[in-house]
Amino acid sequence: MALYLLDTPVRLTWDFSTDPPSHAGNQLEVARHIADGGVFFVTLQGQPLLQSNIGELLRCLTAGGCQVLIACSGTAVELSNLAQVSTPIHQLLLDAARFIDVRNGVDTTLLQQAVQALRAIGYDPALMLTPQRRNLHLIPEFLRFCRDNKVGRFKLPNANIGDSFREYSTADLPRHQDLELFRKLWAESPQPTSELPALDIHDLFLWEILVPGQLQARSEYGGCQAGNSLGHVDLYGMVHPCAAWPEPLGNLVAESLFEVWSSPARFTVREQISVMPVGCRDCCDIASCLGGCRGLSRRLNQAEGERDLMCPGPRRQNPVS
Amino acid sequence: MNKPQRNPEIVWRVEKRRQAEVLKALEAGEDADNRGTVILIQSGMMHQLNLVGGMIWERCDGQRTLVEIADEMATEFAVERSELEADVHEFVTDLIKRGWLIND
Repeated sequence: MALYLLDTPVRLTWDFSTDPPSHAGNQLEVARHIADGGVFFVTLQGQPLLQSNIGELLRCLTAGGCQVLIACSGTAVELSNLAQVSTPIHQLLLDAARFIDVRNGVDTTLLQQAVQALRAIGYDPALMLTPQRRNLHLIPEFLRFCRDNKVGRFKLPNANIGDSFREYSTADLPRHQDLELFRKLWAESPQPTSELPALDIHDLFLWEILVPGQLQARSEYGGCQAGNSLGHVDLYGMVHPCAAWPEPLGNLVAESLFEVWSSPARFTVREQISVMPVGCRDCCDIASCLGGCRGLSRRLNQAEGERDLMCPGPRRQNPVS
Repeated sequence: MNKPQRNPEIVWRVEKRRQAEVLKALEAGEDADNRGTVILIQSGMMHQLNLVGGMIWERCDGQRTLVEIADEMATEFAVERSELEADVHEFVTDLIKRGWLIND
C-alpha cells in the first residue's frame, strides 16, 4: 500500500534551540495540540531541558500517547533538570557537537564523562551528530567511541537550515564534494568492525557509504515525508513541513495539528514533492532515492535542478548491481 | 485463540480523513481493499491496515472473543456470517504470527 496523505504527522521535531520564550502557556498549548494530533514520536531538539516548564510539557505529551525523544548536550544544568523528570523518555540523544574541539577533534574524555553522568541518573543515551562539512571526518572516531563505550545507537539526522530558521546558516551544510572526501577518508581509515552501534542515518548518500551494498534494504522508503508523516515545530509554535523545509503552514498556538495538516499550504508542499526534480532525470537509482532531501535541495540547489545536495549527479549505471 | 490483544509496543492510530474517503468510495461501489485507514509502527517500520483490517484491529482489545468481533463486524458489512468469521480468524492468525497481536 502506498503511503497516502496522513491526517497529521507521525514524527515531529520541536525546536528549543534559542532563548526560551516567555510564553510558557503557549508552549503548553502547542504540546496539547501535538498530543491531540496523535503524533507517535516527538523529538525535542536544541536545549529543551533548559526550559523551565519541561516537566509540564513532557507530562502533556506523554499523557497524550506521544513517545518523546530529547536532545541534550550533557551539561550540568541539563543533567540536574533531567534528574527531576519523572516522565518516561523514549530516547535521550546526546548531541555530539559540544564534544568537538576545532583543533583537537573529539574530546572523548568529556564525552565519556557525559555518557557516564547520564547513565548514573538512569538514562542510556544514543549519540547524535548532525552532519556538517566540518564534522564529517569525525564520524569514524565517534563510531569507535560508541563501540568502546557501548553506546547502542548513533544517529545522524538531516542537517537543518539555521536555528529556528532565523538565519540560513548554510555554509556548513555538506555537499557532494564533501561527501566524496569523506568516502575516501572512510575507505582509508581503520573502521570499527565489531559491536558497531545501530546506525540511524537520514541521508541516503551518507548511508550508502556507511552501510554499503544494501540499497535494497531501503525498499520501504517512500520518499521525502516532509509535510506528511514528518513535520517540524519551531520555537514559536509555527509548523513547517520538516526541519529542512522552512515554510510556515500554521501555528499550533491557535490551531489544531489536524487543521494545520488540512491547510492548502500543506497540500501544496506535497504536490511540490510529487514532482520529480529536474536534476534527477535519467538517474537509475531514482526509485530508491526519490529525490532525497527535498527541503534542502529545493532551497539551496536550484542550480543543479533541485538535486539532493549530497548527490553528485544522475547515475547511469547502478553501482549496486 | 480466545481474546486477541494488540501488542502494547505497537503505536497506532485511525486515519479519520482517509477512513471517511474509503467509506465514501465503498458507497460508490469502488474497490477500497488497497487503501489504508489505520497506520501502525512496529520496530520503526510503518504499516497500514485497510478498512476491514483496521476495524478488526480496533476491536482486538483483549476483551472481545473472535466470535464477538465477528458479531460486531456483521452489523457493518453485508457478508455471509461464516465468511466473515473465517476472514476475522485468518486476519488475526496472520497478525499473531507477525507479533502484532498477542493471543490471550
